[in-house]
Amino acid sequence: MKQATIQLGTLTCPSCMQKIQNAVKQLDGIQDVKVLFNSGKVKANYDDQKLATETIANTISQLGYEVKKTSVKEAN
Amino acid sequence: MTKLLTFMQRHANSLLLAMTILLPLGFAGKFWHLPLVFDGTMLVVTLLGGLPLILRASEALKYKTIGIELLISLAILGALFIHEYEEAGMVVWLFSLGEFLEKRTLNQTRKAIKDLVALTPQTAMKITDQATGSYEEVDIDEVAPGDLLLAKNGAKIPVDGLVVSGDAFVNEANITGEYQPKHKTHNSKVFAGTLVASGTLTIQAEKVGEDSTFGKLLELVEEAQDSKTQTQKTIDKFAQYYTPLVLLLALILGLLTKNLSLAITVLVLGCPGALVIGVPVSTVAGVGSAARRGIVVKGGGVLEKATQIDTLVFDKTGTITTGQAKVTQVQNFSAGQSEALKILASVENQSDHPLAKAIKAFYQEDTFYPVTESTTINGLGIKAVVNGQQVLVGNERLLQQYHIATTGLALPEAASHVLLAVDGKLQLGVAISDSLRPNLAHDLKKLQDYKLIMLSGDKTANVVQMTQGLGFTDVRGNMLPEDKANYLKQLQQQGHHVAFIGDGVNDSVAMANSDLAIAMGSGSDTVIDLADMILVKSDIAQLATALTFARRTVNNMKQNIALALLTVLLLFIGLFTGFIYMASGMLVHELSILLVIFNGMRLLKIKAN
Repeated sequence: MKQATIQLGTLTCPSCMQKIQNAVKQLDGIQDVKVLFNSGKVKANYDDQKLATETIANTISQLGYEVKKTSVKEAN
Repeated sequence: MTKLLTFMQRHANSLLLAMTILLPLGFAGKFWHLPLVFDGTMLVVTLLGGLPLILRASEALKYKTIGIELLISLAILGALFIHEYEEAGMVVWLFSLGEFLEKRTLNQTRKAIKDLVALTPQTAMKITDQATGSYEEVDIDEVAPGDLLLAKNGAKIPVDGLVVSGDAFVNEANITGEYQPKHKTHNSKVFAGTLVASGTLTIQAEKVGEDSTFGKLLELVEEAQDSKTQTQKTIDKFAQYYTPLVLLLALILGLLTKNLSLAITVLVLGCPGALVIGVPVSTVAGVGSAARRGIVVKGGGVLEKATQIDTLVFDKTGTITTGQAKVTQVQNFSAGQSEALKILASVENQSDHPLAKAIKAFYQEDTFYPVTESTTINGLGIKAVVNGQQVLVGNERLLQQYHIATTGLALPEAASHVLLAVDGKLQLGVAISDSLRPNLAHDLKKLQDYKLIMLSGDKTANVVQMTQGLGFTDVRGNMLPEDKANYLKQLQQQGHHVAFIGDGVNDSVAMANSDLAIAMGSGSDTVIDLADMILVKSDIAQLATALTFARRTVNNMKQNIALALLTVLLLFIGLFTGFIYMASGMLVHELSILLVIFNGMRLLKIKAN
């Protein structure tokens, strides 16, 4: 299990959160995902055997959100 | 498609500028009765602003999410279908302008947190060759625990760690709130985000980035500003159904009345903008503003709880006292006080006991006699040999056991006593007590609206004497952790909403049972984890500020909800009386969003009282 923290650009509408949340949640291997509206961060716990961090980041950028930085650490 | 969307997203500002330049051109065409110019520019505007919207809406639909973009996209397409180019163009432009302004103003409300983030060190001077002492600047992500780092005069200390060598004064105000620089030498602990005021240190990294004390605090604040209040959860649920419902309503209205422009207008008016953004804006401004003053609030929900509190229960040691024992009185029975003190300090030098620390702090020097045969006599003191003399250090009971007379000894009852006997004779009596926090009386006066109570594990006589005239309605001593928790439960049964303010692990049971747990920043990790609110600077004055912030923030949320609901009401009245059409509806909608953001920003300007 890994935890990815993805820093996005400024989020302006809380409905964006829902969109990102729904999209990432549907990826195979995601355990849980949290979108932080104000800090513009996505935190996701996922199974790194099944899913690459880049896939999560790409899914988000396909929705039209700028991905600034991605960091991964062991989930606790 | 994704590339096009990313491109348009990146150039959103340029697109908005182009639209804004085109609009007057279009209206000039209208004025000079050139319908081709007018409709043409409006179409271009619609395309520039509408395309990214439509792309975003369709991407979202792929993930079965119905958002504001979908409503607006359908409205634009509908408007184009009935040749309402002006309306379509205006709606798109207003929506883009609104997004631009929202981004700018939202960044303002988030500024308090951004300022905090800016304090985190981004780079470190990593020592690459210990022999030559050469170093290079690296990104903080490349630093691992165990690495040796250099922190020079004026630099930010990049990690939590231990000083390996060097000598410096460090300003730790970011962490402790204490502006007086602290002296750091070999084996001192240093913290990430603190500033080297003078000198140079070589540090061995222990905790880096998010694991450092500062990183943890920051993460708490970041999570808090996005955690939801009960109100917010209700609104989110509402918004989730509201948007599809508006879509359905527009569809039904359109089919029934065969009036497409009415249906389109409903789509535009149905965007729940101000409602969904109102509460998060208040939360981020309130939580951020509090954080800037050293008050960490763990979530919007805590703010709602804090407004209901009517009783404040304090722990004593470390909460209303400094938690740092100090020598308050010395009684000398020897030939030379400084010589006796040196013997005492030499014996205590080996101990980590708080009383020993107080004595060492009082002694101030760092020359000691060699101490041999040192044995601890549990709970009573230490027996040792110094300069060939038999030395006893401990309380009255220890000296009684060795039949040493303590005649003439008159230290204050409420303090802890440390006595020194050399070769069977009393030499020195030292009184050590924990002092009240400075300005405590003044700080407690600001909390007069609350019922103030103090519970302590200390002797009742001490506690009562210490708190006289401070305005406590009840003071209890000899309280075990469970007693404190039971006392809280009793208060709650009487209908009180109780906050507990503490710092030690022994307070954790009481904290878990309180309605609002508040920890002093100097408290143990357990307590910090458990707390709803942390007073980072360990200052009781922050408590009044924290409670004021909570009240103001919750009021602000309520105002924003009221504003948003009022807007929706006005829009629908306008719609059915014929005053509001697509573009004007969009204008009101965007204005209401900016209004709630500006209202939230007022929280950034609260003065600490």
